[in-house]
Amino acid sequence: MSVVIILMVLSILVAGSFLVAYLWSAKTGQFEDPDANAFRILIDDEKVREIKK
Amino acid sequence: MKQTVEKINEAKTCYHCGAKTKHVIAFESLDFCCNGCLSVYQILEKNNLCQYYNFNENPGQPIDNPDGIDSKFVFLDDENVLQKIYTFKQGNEAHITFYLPQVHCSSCLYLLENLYKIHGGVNAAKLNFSKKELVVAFDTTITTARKIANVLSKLGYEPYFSLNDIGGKDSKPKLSKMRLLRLGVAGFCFGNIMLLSFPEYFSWGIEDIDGLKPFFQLVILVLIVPVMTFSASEFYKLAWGGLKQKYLNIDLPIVLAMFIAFGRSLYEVFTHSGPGYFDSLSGIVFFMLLGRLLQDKTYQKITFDRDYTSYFPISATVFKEGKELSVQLPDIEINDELIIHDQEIIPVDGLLAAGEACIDYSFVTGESVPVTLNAGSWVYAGGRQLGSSVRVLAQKTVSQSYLVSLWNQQKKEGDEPTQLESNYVQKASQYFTLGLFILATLAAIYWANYDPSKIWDAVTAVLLVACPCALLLSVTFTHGHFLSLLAKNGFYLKGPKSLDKMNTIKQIVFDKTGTLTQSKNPSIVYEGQKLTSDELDLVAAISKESIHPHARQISKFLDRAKLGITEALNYPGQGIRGRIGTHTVELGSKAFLKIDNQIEIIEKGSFIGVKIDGQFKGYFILKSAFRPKLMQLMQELETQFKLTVLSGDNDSEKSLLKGIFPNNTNMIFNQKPLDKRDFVSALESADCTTMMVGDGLNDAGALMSSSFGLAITDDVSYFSPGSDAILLGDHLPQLGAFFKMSQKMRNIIWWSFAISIAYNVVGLFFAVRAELNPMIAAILMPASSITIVLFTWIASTLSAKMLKLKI
Repeated sequence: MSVVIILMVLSILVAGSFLVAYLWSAKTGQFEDPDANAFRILIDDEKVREIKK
Repeated sequence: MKQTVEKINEAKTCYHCGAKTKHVIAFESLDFCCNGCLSVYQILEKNNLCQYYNFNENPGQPIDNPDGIDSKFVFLDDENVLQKIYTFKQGNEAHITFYLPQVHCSSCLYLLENLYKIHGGVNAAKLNFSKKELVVAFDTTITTARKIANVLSKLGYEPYFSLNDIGGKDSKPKLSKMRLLRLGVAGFCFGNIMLLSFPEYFSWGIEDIDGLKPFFQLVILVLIVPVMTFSASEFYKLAWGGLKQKYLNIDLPIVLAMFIAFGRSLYEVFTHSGPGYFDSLSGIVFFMLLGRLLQDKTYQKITFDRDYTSYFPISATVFKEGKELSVQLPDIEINDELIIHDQEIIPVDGLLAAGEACIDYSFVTGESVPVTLNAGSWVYAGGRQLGSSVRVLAQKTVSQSYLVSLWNQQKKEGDEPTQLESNYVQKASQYFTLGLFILATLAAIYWANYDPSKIWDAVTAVLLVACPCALLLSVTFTHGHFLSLLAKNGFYLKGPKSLDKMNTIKQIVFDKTGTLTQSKNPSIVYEGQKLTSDELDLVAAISKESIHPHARQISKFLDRAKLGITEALNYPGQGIRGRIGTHTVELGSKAFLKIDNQIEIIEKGSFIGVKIDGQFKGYFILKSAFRPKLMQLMQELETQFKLTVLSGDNDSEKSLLKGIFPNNTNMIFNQKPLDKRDFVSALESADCTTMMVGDGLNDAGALMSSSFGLAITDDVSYFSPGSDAILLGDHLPQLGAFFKMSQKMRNIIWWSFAISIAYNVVGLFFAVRAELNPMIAAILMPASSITIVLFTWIASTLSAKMLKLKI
């Protein structure tokens, strides 16, 4: 019996971590420009400069 | 620099921009069409950025002005303007956002984000690909915004600034972040609740021995809270908004069903009479949010409520007290002397004070062939000066200028509350809700007579199982999918309501110039003595030297090898005279060639005469060409609609139009913008639902007074007047297919309504008998949603395929 509860809590934690990852990525605007990110991954990194805010 | 050689051969492709030309400039075994493209290549080579060419073939932009138009970005030196444009400024670091309409591929991204390698002072650059915006962070002590704008122009990405930028409003719609978050939360809760509900459904009457049930239910209860409070909150807002306006929208019955489902489920759980309908409830919320997100996505790239401010520049050069100053548009006063450079837009109505102007009114009238004007002529705001600089004496302020005031006047009249749903969806949902209440009452009356204990059971079950979410879902999914299908084919609709409106149209009115004619490539005809090959070479060589756009088009048209020019002298606005070897060649207007009385020109269009060694040879006529495949389109449309052509020009092209349009077409010429508007209004008030097809600001009035305004444009990222839909010029021949699509969409929606009603009938069958249990609800709900999504998706894709549209 108790093992089911442990497994269930675990499964919700795992799913929850995915939810948190999704919420974080949506919040930081990673879904705003999906095309650009798809291209960026194909470009070899040299020295990437990021805009600091 | 290594040697550059000119080759004369069959057509080759430019390594940079992909243009096909017979005369290439060879450099390091690569071919370039012009020095502009070559110079970009050299910049990239120097900075070790030639990977640019590896991502895509010929990714570059054709370069019109290899030296850049330095004067164009003078306003970027103005501190007041900069303050409004900077998105961030602290100390020496500033961030600026450039809108670059030319961005189109991964190579663009690579090049632009490596801007810091090319231009010192740039710290970093980041491109937003879907918005075509480049954010550049730079050091103000090393470089300036103007210098960066010039570097971008030289690379072929000329930034586009508009009056809108200093107006401070962000016109591009954003994909709502909140909706993404709501969707994520709903999806998470829906999945987990479903999983936790399975044991209950499949227990087949086995008693809960382990005491797991209360624990499962507790977790479900915790999970449903964010769905009800956070994810579904936008439905509450919409339903409440509808209630306040005393208008029954589709969200109201949905919210009602949700509350009933929630209330009854809570009751069941706390009285231990059942597991509740939490999984169906969260599923409804999740699917509906998904549908709306899909609808939103279509609109990310395009804005419809653009006005003239997004077309006009930020500032103009004013000549005051012997100095050239950059003045922001709203600050221009009457009698200011403006200097309009090559390619600049005239911001206010005024008088041409000095210089011969050659003005491209394509934005205003759609006419692509520029008009030549002499000093003292009246020029209208919105025209683009081509060639040398001219001076214009402002006679009106920006907001009082003729076409802008026409625009503003229309805008006030055209204000109407926006509605999200089409009319028939509203009606359907109203009937649906009404029918539901009647059914619930009947069920209550029935059970009151037979078994009063079941009244509560039956009534709540009826209301919750027949949730109109399937209706909403079918509508949002079908609309979303259709809009994106049509957008792929160059037809951008303002909203689902517009698509629905297409079904009511009885009459189509076409504007001629810019709508039926092409603005990109004018047709060029030569009349007169036949020119020998040598003479053609001479004409081509001289026309290449000219700064006048007509001459450039002729040189492009002739596409000949470049001869060495001994001497060439431009007479702005008149013509060009040059010497090649022993020959003198003159190109220009009748007055310039002094041939006023010698010839009579029958054809309408722009005239360029040719004189070689003092002898008049003949002339070129440039005029806008009609778009291809118009005849088939008109034949297709004729069967369903009455057609009318409204043209601002005289009737010189009537015979040509007769060849395109069917015999009974009404053709009216010499129409001013106001005439066009009044004509369309008259049709509308005579109860003849009209679609106005037009372009340019001169059609803005007619577009707005018609039931359905369709704006034709050759580039979506540029300005087009307010309308119900925007159509890319190249796709005009498919208009007939788009009409058929709108009919098909209506049918598909009715069919999906039928499917959802069928599911509802099954659900209601159990509900009125007070036999609905959560498991049936949990099967019916996703099954109906999935069936509808699949049905509308397959049906709309198939109909697009049948009409030979791109999928």
